[in-house]
Amino acid sequence: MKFEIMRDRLLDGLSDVMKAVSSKTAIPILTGVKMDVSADGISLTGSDSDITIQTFIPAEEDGKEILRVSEGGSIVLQARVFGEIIRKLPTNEVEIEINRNFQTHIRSGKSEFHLIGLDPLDYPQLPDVQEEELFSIPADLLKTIIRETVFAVSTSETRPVLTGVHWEVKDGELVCVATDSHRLARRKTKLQSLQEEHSAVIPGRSLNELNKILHDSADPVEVVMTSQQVLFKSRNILFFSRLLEGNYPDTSRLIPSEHKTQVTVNGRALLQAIDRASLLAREERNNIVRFTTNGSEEVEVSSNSPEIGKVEEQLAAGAIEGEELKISFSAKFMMDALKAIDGQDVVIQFTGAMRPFILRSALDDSILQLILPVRTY
Amino acid sequence: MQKTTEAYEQMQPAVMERLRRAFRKDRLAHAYLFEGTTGSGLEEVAGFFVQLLLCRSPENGNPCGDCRDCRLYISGNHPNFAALEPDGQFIKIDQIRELISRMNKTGFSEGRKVYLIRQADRMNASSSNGLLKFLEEPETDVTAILLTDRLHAVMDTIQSRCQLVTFRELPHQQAIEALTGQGVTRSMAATVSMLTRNTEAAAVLASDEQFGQSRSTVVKLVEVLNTNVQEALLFLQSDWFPLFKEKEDAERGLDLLLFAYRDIASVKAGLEETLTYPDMKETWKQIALQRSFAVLSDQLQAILTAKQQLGRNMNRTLLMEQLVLNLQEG
Repeated sequence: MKFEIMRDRLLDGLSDVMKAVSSKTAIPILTGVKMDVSADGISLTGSDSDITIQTFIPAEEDGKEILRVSEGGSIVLQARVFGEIIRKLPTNEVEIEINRNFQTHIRSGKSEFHLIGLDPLDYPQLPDVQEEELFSIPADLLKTIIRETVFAVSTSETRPVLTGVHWEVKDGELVCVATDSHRLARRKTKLQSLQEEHSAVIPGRSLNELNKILHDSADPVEVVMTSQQVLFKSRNILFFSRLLEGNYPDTSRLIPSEHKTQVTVNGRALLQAIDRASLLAREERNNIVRFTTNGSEEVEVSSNSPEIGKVEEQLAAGAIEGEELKISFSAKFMMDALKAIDGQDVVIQFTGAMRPFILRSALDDSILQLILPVRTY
Repeated sequence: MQKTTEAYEQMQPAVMERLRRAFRKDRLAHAYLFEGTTGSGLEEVAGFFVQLLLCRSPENGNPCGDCRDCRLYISGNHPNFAALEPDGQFIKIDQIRELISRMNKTGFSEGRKVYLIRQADRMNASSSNGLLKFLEEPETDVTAILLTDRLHAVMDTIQSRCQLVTFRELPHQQAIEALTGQGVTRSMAATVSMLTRNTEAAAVLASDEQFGQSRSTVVKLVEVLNTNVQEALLFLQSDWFPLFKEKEDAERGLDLLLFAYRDIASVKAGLEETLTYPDMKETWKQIALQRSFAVLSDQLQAILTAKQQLGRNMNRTLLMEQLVLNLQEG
């Protein structure tokens, strides 16, 4: 196998796939990147077995020749070393040649490297993906969906399935749910093109990685769900993630359908008030603030820790309907939820001091946040 | 060293048959606990079994060795397989957590997932408890294989959730054959194979110069003891103590002495097949003639007591002198 390539384009591709390569992996071959070279272009693959990133460098782009292939083939090279070498090469033209026994020669200008490659057959095989079973979402919307749900996944391994976000496609709608059993985030999105029903639990870490890789643009991202993996496909990047095994609990019954008190309040103002109140609560381990309705136009956010001091703050509410209420909850959960709703007017619906309450945006109800209160005496 | 399936079959016919039958009839347990001493082919058979479980086209209870999964497994790159061994003294809870989170994700490629825990007895209490729930109810097609050479040290709750597969020890005679095949003399092979059934460890021991010296010193002590107790006490000072300096050495010396007296008892009983010191058979016969079984039994007991006291850190000089006097009087 032998080809010439522009260094900066190869470097771009490598920096994408390197995000998936981890130095501490149980499977030795995954410390490498796989290159598959054909006349059409090069595909690069990097993986840490949980997530896999594949990128394709076409032979020609914008009318310019990027790649000249003399002979196609495949090779796995140590990712860290290979990346460093390519970055530091003296000229922009790189020639890579692989002999028998995976001996790799990298030439550029007057410098020449010899690298020992690994057998590409040892590299795990990516699942075959059927093109039909997909739907597409604009990249920026996908990023929003991830941001609004993934923070709520559980960090404890006691119930592994809760460390992921449940994606369910049903009736032309994508419903994403994440919960750590103390709070829950749900996001619904209408889809244009979809017929079949799908359900998968995608690990939270994978979604965080995906969020970093996607660009903030309206370019469509195609999503394909298979039984083993989920694939996100944007222009030249394929992002695979393994799924979590097990059945995700049915969360629809957790969400209360009626309420006794409803408060409408400016999200950003409430967020800042809670943030201030939590300054004094932070010392204590559970970081609890108290929320009280005050007549029909005002709410009070307060916190009290006997050793440090206390804080009280009144906040004008847009509307308060229903019963009087005093409730305590974790400031962190509340702030996460308000950040996800992102500054708009927020509707909070309570069903008593001991029952979970829900937050949603006053403008649309695609997003819903549920928080369990804390019992205080 | 890659051994063939036939070699495993010779080592552990019953185990191999059992595992294969379960595999062919598709009646695999979700967890196996392999128990046996280090030389009994535990690791090898486990490796074979894992490969069989992962192989895409197994033939007749054998992995094909040729498909993609087999090749990935042999090169140590199979994505659906995870192995765990103690990190330092114990298998730590974090290792278990990582294993569980790996096993809880869908496989990289389709098919069964397998994990292997070496020295499962080295899981501490929190690791064992961490594993329990997962061991009991894996989410999907996951097979666990636990290896141990100290079954009693594995938590009961772990044991009860696994199918126990006991590996028999390599028979004494077979171990001797294996060693003589490697150029060890027959008498030496008989001695070392009493101490360890692991062929490789035994071969190392057999070529160790100090071990050879220990062996002859023990034999000499028995002979001296039979003639004159004063001389035996002198012999202890001149030969025994300089040689068996450390506690481990002293323990081994007592083991060898115990085997010598066992030999004498065997010879007296007419069991001459499995001697530890076959080259000393004639000497043993003479000694055996002078002793009754009761006396021999007392003497064996004296050595065992000495071994116990060694464990309790008794002064080793006094311990050996007392033992020599006991052996003389008996």
